[in-house]
Amino acid sequence: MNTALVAAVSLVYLLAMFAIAFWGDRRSGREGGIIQGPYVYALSIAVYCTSWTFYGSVGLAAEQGVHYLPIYLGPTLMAALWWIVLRKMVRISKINRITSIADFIASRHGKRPLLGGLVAAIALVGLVPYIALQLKAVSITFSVMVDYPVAADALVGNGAFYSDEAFYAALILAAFAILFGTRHVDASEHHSGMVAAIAFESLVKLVTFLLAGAVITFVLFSGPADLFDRAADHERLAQLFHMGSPGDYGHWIALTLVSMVAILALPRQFQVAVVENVREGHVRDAAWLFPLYLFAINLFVLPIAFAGVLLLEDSGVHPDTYVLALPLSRDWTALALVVFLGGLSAATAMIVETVALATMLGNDLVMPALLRLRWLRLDQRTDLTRLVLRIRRTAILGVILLGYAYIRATGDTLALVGMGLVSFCAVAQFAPALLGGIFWKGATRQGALAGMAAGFAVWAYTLFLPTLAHAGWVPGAFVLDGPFGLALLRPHALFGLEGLAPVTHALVWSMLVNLGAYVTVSLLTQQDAIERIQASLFVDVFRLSAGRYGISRFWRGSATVEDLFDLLRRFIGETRARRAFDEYGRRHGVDLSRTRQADAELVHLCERLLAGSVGTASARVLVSNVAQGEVVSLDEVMEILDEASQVIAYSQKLEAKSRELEAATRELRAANAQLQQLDRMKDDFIATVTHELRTPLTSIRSFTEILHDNPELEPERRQAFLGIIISESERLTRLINQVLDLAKLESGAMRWYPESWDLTRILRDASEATGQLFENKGVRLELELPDGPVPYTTDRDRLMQVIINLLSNAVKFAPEGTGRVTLRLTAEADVRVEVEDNGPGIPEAEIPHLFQKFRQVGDVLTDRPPGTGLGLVICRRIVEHLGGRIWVDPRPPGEGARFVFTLPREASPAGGEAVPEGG
Amino acid sequence: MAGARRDDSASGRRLPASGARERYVAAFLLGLVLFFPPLLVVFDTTARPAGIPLLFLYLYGAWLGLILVIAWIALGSLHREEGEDGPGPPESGA
Repeated sequence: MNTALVAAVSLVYLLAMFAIAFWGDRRSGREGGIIQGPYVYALSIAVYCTSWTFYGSVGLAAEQGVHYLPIYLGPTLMAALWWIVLRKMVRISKINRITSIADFIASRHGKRPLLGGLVAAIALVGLVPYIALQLKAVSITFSVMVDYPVAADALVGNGAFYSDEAFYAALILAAFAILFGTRHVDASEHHSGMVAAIAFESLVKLVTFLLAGAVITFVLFSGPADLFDRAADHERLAQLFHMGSPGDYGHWIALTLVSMVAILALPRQFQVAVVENVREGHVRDAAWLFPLYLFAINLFVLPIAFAGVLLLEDSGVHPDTYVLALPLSRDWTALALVVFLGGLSAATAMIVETVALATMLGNDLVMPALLRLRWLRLDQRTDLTRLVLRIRRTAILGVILLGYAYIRATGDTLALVGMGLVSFCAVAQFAPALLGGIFWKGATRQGALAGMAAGFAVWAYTLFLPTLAHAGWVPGAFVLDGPFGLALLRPHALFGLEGLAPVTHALVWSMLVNLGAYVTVSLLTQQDAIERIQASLFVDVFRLSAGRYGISRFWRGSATVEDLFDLLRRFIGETRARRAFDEYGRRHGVDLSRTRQADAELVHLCERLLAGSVGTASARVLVSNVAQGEVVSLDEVMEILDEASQVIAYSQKLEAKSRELEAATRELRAANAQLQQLDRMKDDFIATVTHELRTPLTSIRSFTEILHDNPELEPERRQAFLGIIISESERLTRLINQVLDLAKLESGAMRWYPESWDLTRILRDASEATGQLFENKGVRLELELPDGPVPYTTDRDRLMQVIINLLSNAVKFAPEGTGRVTLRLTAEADVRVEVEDNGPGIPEAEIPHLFQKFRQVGDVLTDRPPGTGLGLVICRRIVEHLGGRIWVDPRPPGEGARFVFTLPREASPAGGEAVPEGG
Repeated sequence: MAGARRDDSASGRRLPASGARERYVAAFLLGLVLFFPPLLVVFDTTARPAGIPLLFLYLYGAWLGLILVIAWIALGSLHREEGEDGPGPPESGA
């Protein structure tokens, strides 16, 4: 067939697909329509069927019979569980805005870039064979179309690359991938146009394959019975009616299991099934629609394969191309062209794969690395979309060229299916982290890292490297005899596990190591706070999102008043929260009980209120979680706050300690101040005492000098002066005595001599002792004493001293002539002595200072009454020593003063002991 | 503030939501049994009903049967109501 014809038809078809993609993108904004429906969704998942399905299955069936089937049974089995597994993944991805499988796994484990990068790297290496497979299929079938029957043994990778059809196929497909998937950057990574195109191509490949199959079965033969009858006569084919040797069962099981996982873990599958999902309900419909598709497209695989063997066995046509070669062998060019287009459709699944892969590489590998390079100053650029797109386009081109390189490297040594299985095994390494992450909260980041890295290493060693060895890039002895001749480490028979097909063998070891490391390391390591939150958000996503307001609450992406109130209430208490909301409502004139949506100001208010309790950072996290419609169960948050609360408790202890320290410091300072004051007072005291001593001494000296110098002084004058000298001496003596008394009282050196006396007698004696004073001034002294004697044990002299002192004071202040002083004794509960006068009284301001040293009422130098100022202090000391109290009764000004002291009714404390002095 | 709740008790013929999950798991296990060795070996004989090898008939027949079982669970169960969500209009109520 004409090269130009084939090329032109292919190009037109690809452009048609692109047009559909364009139309699909235009329509993506609108609700309803086919694109939003479940059938498109199911058909898009059918991107699972690539050239492997279209061509490779037939090739495999021709060699091994039914062993092409597990790859489709596996997804059917998994589809039964989609409502549980896939729906969970969809829900999680919507809530966490996940855009790729690398994103998913990284997000689950605390949004760490290393994990995402590892997934992207594994995907890159693992999918190179898969992409190569598509390129190879396109180029082989292209040559078959053009050169049949000459080039039909499908040699690829010969000659220079610029004359190699595969190279041009690679470039064209890269161009279309760039056009489909990188026209713009969408935060949600939705490519509705691409989905539409994929759905279309799924339909095309199904129809064309069914058509080819029907024609081959019912036209070339007379129906399936006829075909199988003929096959039964063919020696090799008859054997293919059966499973084969028992060892093949292991292979069957392994392939089923790996494809069960691949339907979720392949990047393109994740993209169409999870990221592009529009409604969760579609998952339920796809759960049976997709397996139905698989069933239909596989219906004629065996017939076509057997037909090919029966009719073309000797023509050297590669079984992978039977689907095409059979129509060509009958010169049914139209049908051949149609089949070729179907195969081309199947190969364009690679476009989705490369776009998904490039997105992952860009987002999870390249961008994080670039952002680390500070000298690029990427974080300061406002618009990174151009850079992102450029990275993505480069990645697409790079990935496809890598696929081409792989073809050149491995040439014909691998059948199409073989290449595909290598990739399946690679993406199977994601399975533990992917599925474990959504069902097991205890899975940790280190576990995922360990599992994936270990599994990938085993895969590379047991599957990837040997493919290169087969093609001669690595010494063949490496595979046959093991590295350095160590037979135990042979890539296809590790540790002596022989008899398994390479894929099965690789699967067994890699999954063992992967799962083992994943579980063991997870159990041995701890999660940090973020990972714990994420684990809960992932595993409990259904419980958390099916809230009181129904599931659709999730999609709103803003805060409700109820949410905020709930949050507030838990942290600052019901009353405060209610009060805050009421006040807010009053201030803004809104009724919050009727409002559903919270406006930004309310959100902000709540954040501030929370910050008071948990700090600004935590407040922001809590509020932003509520505001974005993501729900973190508050119990989880409390658990996480546990971590922080230990720190808080410790810092509180520190605070308490520092407060104690502050208190102690304050006390010390006060004590210091007091000491200083006492020091000052002591200085004052000494100053005052010396002054007091000096004054009478000065008088005495002056007058004595006068007498000495003036012997001829008149006798009256001399007598007067002598009198002054005497009285001043007496005053001096009194003062010295008082100072000594005070000193003795304060130091506790005073000797006390308690004896039994009659109190009334003591009072009478005291009044007699001061009688002269009263007479001199003309003040009347009245005694109010009980009738009988009042026996009391006390120190008579000291008590006398107190009473005399009080009486002297009273006399001093009592007005001349009209003064009246009352001395009263009552002895009921306590012994109570009162000395009352009718003098001017004591101003209220002076009362606190009355009993202080050298305080005299009217303490101004000109107004100083005679006296030392020490009398009341001494009284107080004595009374307190005797176990009593002394005070002044408050009286209205001008009505005199009343001094009272009481003594305990029992005997005074024993004498001689030092009474602790108060201030 | 009461959110709008969908009326789950619409039709008496429906299975409870949790019942759907269990049935899916049962279908999965059925699939495992059908397509893994024990049963597989049973049908691996030389019989050729209607000219088609028994193994092939069994594999495809069981496959279709399993698909129909899944379809029956999906279409006939209550959980058609839950999961009807997505970026639809906000719920009414309060």
